[in-house]
Amino acid sequence: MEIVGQLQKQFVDFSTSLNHEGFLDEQYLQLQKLQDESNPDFVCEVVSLFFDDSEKLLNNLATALQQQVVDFKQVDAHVHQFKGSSSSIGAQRVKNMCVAFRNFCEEKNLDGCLRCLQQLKHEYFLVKNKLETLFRLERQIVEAGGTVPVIG
Amino acid sequence: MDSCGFSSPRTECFPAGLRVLVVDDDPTWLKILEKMLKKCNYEGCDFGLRKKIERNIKMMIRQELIDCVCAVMSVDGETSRVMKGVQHGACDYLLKPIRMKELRNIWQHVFRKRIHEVRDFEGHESLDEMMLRGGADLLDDGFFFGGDPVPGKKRKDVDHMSDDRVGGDPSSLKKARVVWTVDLHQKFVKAVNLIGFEKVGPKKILDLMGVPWLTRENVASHLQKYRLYLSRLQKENELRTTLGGTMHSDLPPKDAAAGPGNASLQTLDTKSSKQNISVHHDDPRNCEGIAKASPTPMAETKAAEISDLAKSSTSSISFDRSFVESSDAKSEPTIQVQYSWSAGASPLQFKPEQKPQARAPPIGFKQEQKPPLRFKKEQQAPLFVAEHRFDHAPVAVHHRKDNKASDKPSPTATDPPYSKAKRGQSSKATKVESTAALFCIQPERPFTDCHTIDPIPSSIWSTKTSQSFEQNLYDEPWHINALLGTGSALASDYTSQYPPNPYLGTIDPFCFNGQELITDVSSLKFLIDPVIDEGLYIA
Repeated sequence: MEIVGQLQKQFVDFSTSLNHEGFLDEQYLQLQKLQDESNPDFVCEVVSLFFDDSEKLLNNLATALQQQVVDFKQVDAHVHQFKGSSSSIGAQRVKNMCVAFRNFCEEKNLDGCLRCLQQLKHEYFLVKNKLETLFRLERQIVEAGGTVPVIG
Repeated sequence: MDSCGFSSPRTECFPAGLRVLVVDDDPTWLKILEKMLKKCNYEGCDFGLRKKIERNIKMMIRQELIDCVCAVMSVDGETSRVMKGVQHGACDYLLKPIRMKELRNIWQHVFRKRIHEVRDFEGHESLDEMMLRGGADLLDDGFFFGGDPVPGKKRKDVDHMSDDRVGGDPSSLKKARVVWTVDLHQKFVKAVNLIGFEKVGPKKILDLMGVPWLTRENVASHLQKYRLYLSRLQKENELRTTLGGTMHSDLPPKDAAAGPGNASLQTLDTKSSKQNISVHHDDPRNCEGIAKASPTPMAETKAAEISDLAKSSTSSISFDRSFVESSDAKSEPTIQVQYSWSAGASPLQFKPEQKPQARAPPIGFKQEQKPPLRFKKEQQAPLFVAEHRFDHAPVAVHHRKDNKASDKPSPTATDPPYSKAKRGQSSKATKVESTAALFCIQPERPFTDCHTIDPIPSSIWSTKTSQSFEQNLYDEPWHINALLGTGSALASDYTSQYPPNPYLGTIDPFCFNGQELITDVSSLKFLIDPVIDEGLYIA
């Protein structure tokens, strides 16, 4: 069907660009490989978990950095956790931002940390946006009667 | 996975069905790992709340509910982190994001540990669980590990599987119970004394013993028990000494290992234990006669005594009994023994080249000192007593050695009312006695008895190690969750490291998983059967 074909092409193109632009890396493909008939919404579920977790972490980070006396160890712990969870779905740019963030934590550079937090938020919402678009495309393909192409 | 062709509750073959417990504070990772494990045909089980989990796991390991190896996973791959992980006992360090192929191979750790366990502990239950620990925060990352709350069945399965798989050499994998008969033990003790208690190593002992079918691991395990036993005896003896009150304070600077003492020891050595016993038993003064021990390396004395005792183990039993029963000479001989012991009797007669050893624990004496109570306890739980004593003995000796500087065992030092003369001889006698006492237990309750309890120490050991490991685990604020390594196969090389115990005061790093298991035993106490333990401290 035309529509399915179009949607599928859109999906493939979009996925590829996400990969090229560093939003999503290999790990995301791995996740997709894990998805099977027994668990058709696996990737979506995992990503949802990531979203929830991330938003919590971002809030924690904001709180921690707003303290009178900033506990950089605590901040670092949060960032470390964020780094881990972002790596779980392959959110590469978010992960890289975490690395930079941790450096500022080590230096106990409050300004640097605050800036990083902003950037981190930015990256996070970017990738969240992209993923939501991706899922939407998938849904449309399935609703149109097609199958979602497997990338990689 | 190929079929193993035997019936078991689990239809898959190892490593299929490997139970993996995942602990991570990152829910995203938990979900992913769960799925990945499923793909590997492993049974995954994940935990979220890390703190709670860790506590629970710690508890479960303590209770020996979990037998597993541990791998760490983290997003942080710095070498220092990895090193830390391994130091804390991680069998492996997986970097997040975790790849399928990495996960697929984690079973090797379990398998390795199993093999080591079987080898080292003569058929101890293997572990087929795996623990992976990873996470993202300072304190501990989430970790996942394989844990089976009811390991028994699973282990059995794996045992079967392992046997089937390895096939070729079932003897090496199957439990090989070594029954330490009196004769065998005597050989062992002789070998130990020949080498010198402190320098002894299972390989040397094995060579000296000349028992072809005995393996180094058998000897190593036996040596460990022996040391623990001696240490325990020493403790008991110390206790009795302090509590006794009939001790003599005099303690010759040098142990009464003078000639006469030697002679007496020698006599003891050559004569039947019964004879020795009688000497001792008869009169402390007799001991005096023999007392003139010159300071000789304790080792020799000890060795002599031990070998002596070994020989006279049978008779010693009776001796012990009689000794115990006789109320009058009890305390004195005890004291004397103590001193003679420390005095380090007659090296001459025995192997002069023996190095000084820690005083043979007058522990035996302690026991005798309060025979009614002690014995009662022993009778109540003979099996455990035997085992227990045995286990502690070496430790005591060890300690003695440390105190050897002054050549005065500390307990003896605390015994003011002690005549030197008496000390010399009596100590000899007592020493023999004590040793006899030590050994007499064995014949009474053959080593098989002890042996039947073997698994207990091992398992307890693993518990302990896990426990202590857990201790370190949680005490360390590090990003990578440490590993929980349980199971007895903690020491892949048994000889190289005797599990540290409180008496010895050493703590080796604890490593899980057959790879390099370094055991970290913070306290041996847990190994002690409660009955025995109580008994020890009964005044």
